[in-house]
Amino acid sequence: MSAPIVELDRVTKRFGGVTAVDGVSLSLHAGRTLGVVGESGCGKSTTARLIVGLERPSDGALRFNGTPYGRSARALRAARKAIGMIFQDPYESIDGRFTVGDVVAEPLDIHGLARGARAERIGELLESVGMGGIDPDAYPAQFSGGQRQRIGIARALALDPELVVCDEPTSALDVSVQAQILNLLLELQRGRGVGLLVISHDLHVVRRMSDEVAVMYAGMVVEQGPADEVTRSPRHPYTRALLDAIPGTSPAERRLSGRRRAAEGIASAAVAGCPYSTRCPLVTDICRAEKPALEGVGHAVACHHAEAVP
Amino acid sequence: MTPLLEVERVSVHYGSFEAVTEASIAVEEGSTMAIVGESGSGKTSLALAVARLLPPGGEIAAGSVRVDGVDVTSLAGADLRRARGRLVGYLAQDSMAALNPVLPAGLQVAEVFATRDGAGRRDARRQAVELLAQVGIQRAAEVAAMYPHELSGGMRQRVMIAMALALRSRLLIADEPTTALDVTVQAEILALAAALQAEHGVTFLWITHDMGVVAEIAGTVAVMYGGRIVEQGPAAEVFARPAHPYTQALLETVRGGAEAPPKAPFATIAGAPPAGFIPPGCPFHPRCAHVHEPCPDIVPATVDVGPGHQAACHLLGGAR
Repeated sequence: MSAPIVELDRVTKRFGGVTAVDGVSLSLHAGRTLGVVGESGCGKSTTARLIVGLERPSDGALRFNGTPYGRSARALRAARKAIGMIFQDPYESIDGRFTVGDVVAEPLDIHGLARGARAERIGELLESVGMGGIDPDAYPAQFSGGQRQRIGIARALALDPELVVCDEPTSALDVSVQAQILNLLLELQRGRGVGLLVISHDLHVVRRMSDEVAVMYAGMVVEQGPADEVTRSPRHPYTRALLDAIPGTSPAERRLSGRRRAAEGIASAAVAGCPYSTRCPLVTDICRAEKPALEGVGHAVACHHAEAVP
Repeated sequence: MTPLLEVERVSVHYGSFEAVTEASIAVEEGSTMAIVGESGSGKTSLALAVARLLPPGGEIAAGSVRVDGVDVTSLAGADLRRARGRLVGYLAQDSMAALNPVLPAGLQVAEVFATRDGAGRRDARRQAVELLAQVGIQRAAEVAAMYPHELSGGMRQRVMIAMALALRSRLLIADEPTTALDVTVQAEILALAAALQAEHGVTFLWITHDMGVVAEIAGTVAVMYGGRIVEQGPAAEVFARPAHPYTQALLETVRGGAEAPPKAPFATIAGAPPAGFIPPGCPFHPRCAHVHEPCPDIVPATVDVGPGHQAACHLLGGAR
């Protein structure tokens, strides 16, 4: 495999006393997709924001084509030009007072690249996201959620990025529109060879989109490996729980209603050992005492009892 | 047996906009009907109409809603207030907005016993803690003293369910109560709902956009699009033999691709659901792969396609 575009080396991000991202290492490659899955508060969005430079790391290093950029303004500017971002909410992330053309061209304007062929470039970008026919002087309010997300994608592509970070790109969209946007991302990757980071709480989406999957819990990557393998034979009990929580596909195969009624406790403060030990069905004394390391080549897992995961 | 909920040809208007057009459903006591649809389908307006909770400007323009034999469309004032809660409970998606932020969770459940039964403070509190434990909250006495912002989304939704159980509502409307929750928490809440139905015979009208949720909890399902019910019937039947092209496409998004190789394209429906303007004729015709001559002009009639299973599509015959 080629050298990574972006590399995270034991990156940690603390907000006050809260560790949002805890020693995460990831590599992102051209033409490949890394899916990051986890629930609210697991640190997946903070990871995305660190990669695009919206947050600075407290510890560890981020590298863009081998050059550290986490703390240097100049290196960050170079990295930002090469990393596009697509946000979750196409209503919040697009300024309604800008015309569609101005939204799409904003990155060009910021980096001083818009002189000359600005209008043509806007046309090309809109064309590439299936919005070729629209008037660039129209305002975003005239468009549906799916169309606004396409406009957001066109903006992310404006600087010909090497990597596009997608933070829950479809979770604010209607079910019947989600697949269109996911297909567009797949097409853009095939056509342009961009690397993708797809962040989602939906393991089904992540499996379909990704070459590799990282599962996050409490700021840590607890399992990582080839998408097919992680979703078919998970080795971390949390990944297992995520898979078991996916509803069945018909009333004939209900998966949830027969569950034993799990009780919900008060979220406990930081634990010394494995962060999942407070919820884990396989918990033993060692889990409460010692944080497991992410171990394994290819398919890695951070669990003292990985061999016991059903 | 008369159904617990009978909705007959109900239309909901917001000024000149028709959010729901002639919707008819029936829900048997102790069962769950799911109303499934996307944004703008009219599913929430229909639910709010049943609960008589339409916002100002919204009105039930036609049709009738009977809960346990009571015509709730004609209720007003104190009668309406009594009917809410006793007849119909409402489980909202946003539990943070639905709970009172300045009262401890337990007190909000206890209020029901104090107000309705005239229970003393201590007795009301004891009953509230019992209910919180019953909906799967650990250390319920401790949680009862906590404020909503101190609880997780899943815990707040459990408190809401405890309130509904305290009310002993005949019908419980669940308006996407799991949509804002994490998947593992959603799974627990769906399991809890199924268990409560088995133990207490709770009747649910469950509003959702998610066919996976429908598959898990619904006995019957009504699929809404553009303000109309385009298909309804026993869930097993609708999933096995979906008759409407929209239902077929929605199911494809759930079931399709479980075995697909990585990075294979997803099955799609072209276009977007209507917003602000409902197309004439069949509301789905601009997006339908099978659109033909009558679809843009004539609303298809609802016809029987199986036991208790109806759909409205010109491919299925029938005329209006």
